[in-house]
Amino acid sequence: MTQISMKHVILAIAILWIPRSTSAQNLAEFEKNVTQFTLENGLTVIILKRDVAPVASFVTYVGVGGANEPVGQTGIAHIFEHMAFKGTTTIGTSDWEKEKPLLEAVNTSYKAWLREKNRPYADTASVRRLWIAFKAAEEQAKTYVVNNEFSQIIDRAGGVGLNAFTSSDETGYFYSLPQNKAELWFTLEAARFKDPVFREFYVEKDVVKEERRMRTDSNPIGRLIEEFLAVAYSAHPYKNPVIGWPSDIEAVTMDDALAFYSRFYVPSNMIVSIAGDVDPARMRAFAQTYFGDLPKGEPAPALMVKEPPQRGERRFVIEEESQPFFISGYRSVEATHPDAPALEILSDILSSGRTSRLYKRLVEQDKLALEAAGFYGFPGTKYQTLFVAYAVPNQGVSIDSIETAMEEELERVRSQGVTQEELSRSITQRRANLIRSLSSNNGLALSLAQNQSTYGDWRALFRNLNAMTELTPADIQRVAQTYLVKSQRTVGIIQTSGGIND
Amino acid sequence: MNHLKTVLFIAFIGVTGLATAQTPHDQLIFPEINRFVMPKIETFTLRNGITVFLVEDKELPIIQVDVLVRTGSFRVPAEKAGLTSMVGQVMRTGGSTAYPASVLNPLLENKAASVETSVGFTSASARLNVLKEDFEPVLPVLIDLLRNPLFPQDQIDLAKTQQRSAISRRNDDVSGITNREFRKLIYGVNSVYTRGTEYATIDAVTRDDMVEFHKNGFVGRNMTVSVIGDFNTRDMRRSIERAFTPIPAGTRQSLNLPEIGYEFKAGVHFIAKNDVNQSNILMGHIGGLRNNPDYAALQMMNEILSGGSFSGRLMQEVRTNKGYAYGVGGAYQSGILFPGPFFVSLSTASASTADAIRATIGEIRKMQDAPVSEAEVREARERILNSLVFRYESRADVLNEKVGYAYNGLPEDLFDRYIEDLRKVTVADVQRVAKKYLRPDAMQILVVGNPAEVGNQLAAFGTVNTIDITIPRPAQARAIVRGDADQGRMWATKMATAILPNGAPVNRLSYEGTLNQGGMALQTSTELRFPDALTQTITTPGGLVTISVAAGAGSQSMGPNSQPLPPVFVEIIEKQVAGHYVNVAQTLASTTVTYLGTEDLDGVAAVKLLVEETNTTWYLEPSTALPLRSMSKEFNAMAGMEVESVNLYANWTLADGVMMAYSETNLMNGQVASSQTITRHTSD
Repeated sequence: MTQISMKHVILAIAILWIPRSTSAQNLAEFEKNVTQFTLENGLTVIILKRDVAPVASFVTYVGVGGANEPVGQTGIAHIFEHMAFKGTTTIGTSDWEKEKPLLEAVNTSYKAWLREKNRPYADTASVRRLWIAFKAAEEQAKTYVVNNEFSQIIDRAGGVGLNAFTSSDETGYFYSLPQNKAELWFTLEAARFKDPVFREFYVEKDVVKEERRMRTDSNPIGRLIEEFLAVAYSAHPYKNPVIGWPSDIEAVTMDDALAFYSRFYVPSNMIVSIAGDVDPARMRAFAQTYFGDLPKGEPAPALMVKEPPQRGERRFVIEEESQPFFISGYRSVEATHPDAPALEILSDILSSGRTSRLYKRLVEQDKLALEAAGFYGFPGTKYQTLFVAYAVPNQGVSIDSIETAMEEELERVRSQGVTQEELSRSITQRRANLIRSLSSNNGLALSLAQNQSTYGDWRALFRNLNAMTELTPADIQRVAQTYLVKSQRTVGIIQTSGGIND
Repeated sequence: MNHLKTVLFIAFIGVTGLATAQTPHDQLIFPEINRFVMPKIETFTLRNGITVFLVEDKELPIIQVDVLVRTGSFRVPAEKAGLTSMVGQVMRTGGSTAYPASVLNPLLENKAASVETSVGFTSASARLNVLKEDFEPVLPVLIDLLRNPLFPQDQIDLAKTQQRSAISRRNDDVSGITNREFRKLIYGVNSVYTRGTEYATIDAVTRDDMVEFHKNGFVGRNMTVSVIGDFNTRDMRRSIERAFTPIPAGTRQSLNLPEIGYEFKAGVHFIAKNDVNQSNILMGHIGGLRNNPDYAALQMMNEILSGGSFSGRLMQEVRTNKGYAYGVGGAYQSGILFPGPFFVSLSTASASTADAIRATIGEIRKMQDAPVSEAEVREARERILNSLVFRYESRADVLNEKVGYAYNGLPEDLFDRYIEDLRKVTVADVQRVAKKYLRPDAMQILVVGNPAEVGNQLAAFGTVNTIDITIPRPAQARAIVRGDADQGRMWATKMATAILPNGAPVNRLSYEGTLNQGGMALQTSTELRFPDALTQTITTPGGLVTISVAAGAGSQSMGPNSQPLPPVFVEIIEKQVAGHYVNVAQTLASTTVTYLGTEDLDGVAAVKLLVEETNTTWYLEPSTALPLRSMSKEFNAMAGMEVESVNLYANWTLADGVMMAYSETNLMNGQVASSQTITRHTSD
């Protein structure tokens, strides 16, 4: 048995009540290794020097996502992300002069087929004929394609982790290289965004359809989430799946993608973020050399749609073969709103770790759920977002009992608030997580870009945390009372057909 | 003079890299790469057999301690599968002698420290990750969890509940199904390598099993400790020695795994999943071992087949050219402790299942039938060699590699020797190993997909074997009861006469009454047609609902709307009708009834009769021989678990030659589920 001395008691109290500050990992220290500047055309560049190993990670972050897509073109941001790997007028082609007209022919014939197919009283024979013509044009265009040349250049140079993502708010492209090959990243990245060619556009759409089948159609949780967002939002494009609705994926053409790219891939809407063993002065020179002549263009259009007020609770039930699931989302606020930090803390108190409210009640004590959590900020955080609470029921447990227990726990927070211990714990964990996150180049590069994009300043990574130390338990209680309100929520349920769920 | 100045100026610009022109990728000249400085690793062994590795890393104020333990689920018999998962979980969730759960969780989480434990197939681990200033107070927590885990029953119960839930969900995710079932095709259905948890195996695990497993495995001679973080080696060495020395040495366990005895044969297997529009495909056969001298050539073959981001032949053909799949990849895996599989995996739209399989097998054959190009070998080698710098992205990478090699008994220069060999692999080598080790003629092809959409496509590859992945229910615990047969007969006759005084058979029994369920009182009118048909109308707030079950099918209607009843409900209703006391009474002569003695129920010595056919126990009032209650334990399909159902009977009333209990209450697992009162009944 350990002896608890007075010293330990005092230390314990100190640890509980005072937000822990740790030595080296504060903003002032970190900033010493960061170089930031903006080119004349508006491109923001952030460089973090970190020479632990002779490698570096490179990120291009674009402030465009599913939420910015035109009506009828959902999925286009993600399709363009795929296109960004197809090369340029010099990479990925054996003869651009010959390829160019063939690509135009592919586009024209696809549009002709699409138009005919979607006409009321469409003539089946014509549709078939136009499809065959399109396929023939596609075959022809293939002649000059050098498959995957873009990624092969990177692979051969020893690059790893080549990937990209599209979310509701933004699109990111990244990979890591041996540190002495930084210039390769600049020349390829600049080419790819100055001079993209949408070759194999329609074949790639098949790949995207497979991706949709895999992530959504054939995945019970994928299906639930897609339905959930569509019900939770009425007007705002957060309601649309990033992968796109099937008919939109089909209808998108090369022209649409080009128009989309021209509107949004402008330097003032882009951030370059580099972390690793690089010389910031050299990187700065490269940035000027390779990105300096990116045309400034017009500022990217802002999203004007505001989600109208929700008039009452929304609920839906999917009855199917798979095991039950419960998800609820409460209307809340965007990341830059003053209430956002308190909502983040609330999600920790509800579901971070084994001391969290939902874990203790639903998982451990009542054994209702295999997993129960709440988190702030889905599907994105740039606009009015959702505070989500979900649970995976244990076998034989009804959704009713899950919902009741969840509601009781949320009510406890609303009526009785949270403790200072819980609040301090959340802040300590966030600080520790921040420290732990500083050991990955790729993670750092992404994180700096994301904070720059969301808050307009990469320093938010540290400053947000410091702001949280000003919060009190009363603040947490207040946001629970304000936002976790029945009339402002959407509930989605998977019920096993023929099952026990009431 | 000017000329020299220009040359110097250009040279100056070149060196500093300022204002250079844009250079296309294939004309770039790169400077020398910076060197990675290998960290010093301090190694020592304690008296109790624990080997320790220490590496300083002062970049961040964190310390991590990893304990790798020489044990694993391969040691667990099939009938207790799941034991080790739960040991790994409960070691942490249950806390230890000095740090029980209620103390442990807040202690750690208030400091944002973590101590986690887990047990895998061939190793177990415990990890402590903590901010530097909390290292001294939290290290004892790790030690106590390793030495004195409490394994409290409540956390074991929780772990079992979670395991059961995981079992019930294991067929929801397509890739989970595919990976699991493919493994069985390679390693055998009942082997150590594919042992799966089932309800029965989870039930069979006891606390003693967990304690025993922990006691044998978590001893000094099985442990390797590695520490990395912001500390001074000398101080850390002292802390580790002090903390870990008290752990008993124990006996070192071996990592000997059984032979696999794989037989090459072609097979086509299908698993139906109705809620997908894609086929998930895994195909392959057994692979090999790490110590194969052809290892480097095989890695080259893997790289050409599916290396790089999109560079491999599989991606090129199946994704880029044909658009069949979002992702396709595979490898001939060379396992360290046991052979890995050779596999290719992909997902494709249901309609292109056969085409995608053909395209994939085609690419495998091509590797054998024709040599790969010099360019492919050169590029594959470039990819591997140029990315070698990523072998160590951190000091932790160096430490982990060293610990892994030591654990598996591998020589330290293993990787370097592989790179040496890789430099020498030729085009001929690649074709040679493809021919020797790949068997496209003897592939096990597994498809998980939508039967309606896939149709007959797989017949092209051979006779299709359909795999049933229905989750087995736990065997019902049937106690073999030895009872008095004569007494049983006697009481059975008494019960039959009590319920049906005239002895006349009852075909139809109708009654009216009130059903109390879920807080509502509903008027009902019921007609039972023995042995297994029913019609019931219920007056609900929303209107009159009629439920009808006959000849194995059922429906539910309200007004003009009618819906079929799911088979699972039909079955339950049929069982209820057949098990109704009136039906039991009139069929008692042809059933096996066992007398189980008496049991005190509220001061009455009730007579217990077990009717074996329905596995129901009847408790009779001794003077009237009328049932006081009946009890049965059954696996309830809706609940997904065994449920104890008890009916209480009171207010017996005679009409039309039939006795009916005008008060009846039903309890499920001890909780009142419903009750009913009857106002009148008739029969014929």
